[in-house]
Amino acid sequence: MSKRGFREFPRGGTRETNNKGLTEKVALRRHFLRKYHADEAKVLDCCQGTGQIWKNLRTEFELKSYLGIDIKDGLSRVTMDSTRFLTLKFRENVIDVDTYGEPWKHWLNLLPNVRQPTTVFLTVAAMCSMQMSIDVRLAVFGKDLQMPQSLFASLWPYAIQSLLWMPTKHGLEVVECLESVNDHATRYLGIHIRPMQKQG
Amino acid sequence: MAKKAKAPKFRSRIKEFIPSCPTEKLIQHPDNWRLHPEQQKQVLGSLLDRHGKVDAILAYESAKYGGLVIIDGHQRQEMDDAYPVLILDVDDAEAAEILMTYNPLAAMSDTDTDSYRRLLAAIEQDEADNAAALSILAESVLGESIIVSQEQEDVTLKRVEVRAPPKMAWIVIGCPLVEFGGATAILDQLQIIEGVIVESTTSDWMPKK
Repeated sequence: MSKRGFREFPRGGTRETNNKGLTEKVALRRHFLRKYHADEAKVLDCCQGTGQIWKNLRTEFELKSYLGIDIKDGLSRVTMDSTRFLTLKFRENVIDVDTYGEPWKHWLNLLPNVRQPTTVFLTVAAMCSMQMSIDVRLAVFGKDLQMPQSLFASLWPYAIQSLLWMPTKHGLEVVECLESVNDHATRYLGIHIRPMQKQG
Repeated sequence: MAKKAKAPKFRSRIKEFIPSCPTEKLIQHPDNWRLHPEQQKQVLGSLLDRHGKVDAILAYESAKYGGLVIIDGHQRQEMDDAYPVLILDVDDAEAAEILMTYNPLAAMSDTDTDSYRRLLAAIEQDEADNAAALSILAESVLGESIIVSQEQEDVTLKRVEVRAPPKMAWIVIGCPLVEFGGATAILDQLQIIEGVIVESTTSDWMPKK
């Protein structure tokens, strides 16, 4: 872990770059923008990096607003930890978490603050399948469950099921969840959620 | 000397082909049991737009019902003012039997999903309507939800089912191998119980204190 509390990436290993899977990522976003945000798309790009995905999409779609955040200096308009940003009340309805690592802390932080139909894009890196952060363990198991690492790896499918079901605990419903199929191990997910309709 | 062609094993019951028959002349079979939801109609419309009419309605002449009665193609009749029609030389009883057996027989075929996926990948999806139609058909053939991208980028968007996670209770069994041997038999027994998921590791592990 770094001093700022972020997991360091292994040096010299294969690392997701912004351009890897660009076609699949853009196609996924295009689908949700057309289907749910034709009228108004206010985008919060949580891990902006070089911003390649939205550079492409902004040539196709007229966005109401676009705010890029990155923890690294100089890459974005706002330099801060986007997981903290999401704990505040945000006004955006498209949240892009194209992170190098695990997007679940972003996901868990943003859910209590969703007040309108919102699409969230999550990039789930392959490395996530080998370990489970304390945020995920607390959310899924209700406690910081201790067990061998190999068991955590086997439990990931159930953990993801629980994580995707998490909106219902915040009065939200999942309208649509899609995955952009790709050849690499990284998963690209798009989830459209909205506040549950009140009965009667 | 030319070899004499073998006589076909089965007789043909097609007595006439009308390339463009006014569909208003066709009578819906009173015992038609297949229902056609709106989505199916939309998909058929999209395919007709793309390929045109590539098949024919099956019908027969019935004195009982007073005209050309549809055996197969009730929905296609509603799609256009004219449609190719194959007229069969059958009576009312045979027509009823064909009506009952024709579609279920087609549904009995198995699916080579790899071939289907190859076909799907080769199609250029240049229109939104066509992409939607292909997605719906692919979903029904492959038994899983697939959305075909509207762009010519060969990207498939697959539906992820979001459902409530199973209620979970954890039983962690630690079985020191040196003293007791393997716990395989216990785990095998647990695995038989419906809804029980057994995950095991042989790693030497102790919880952090």
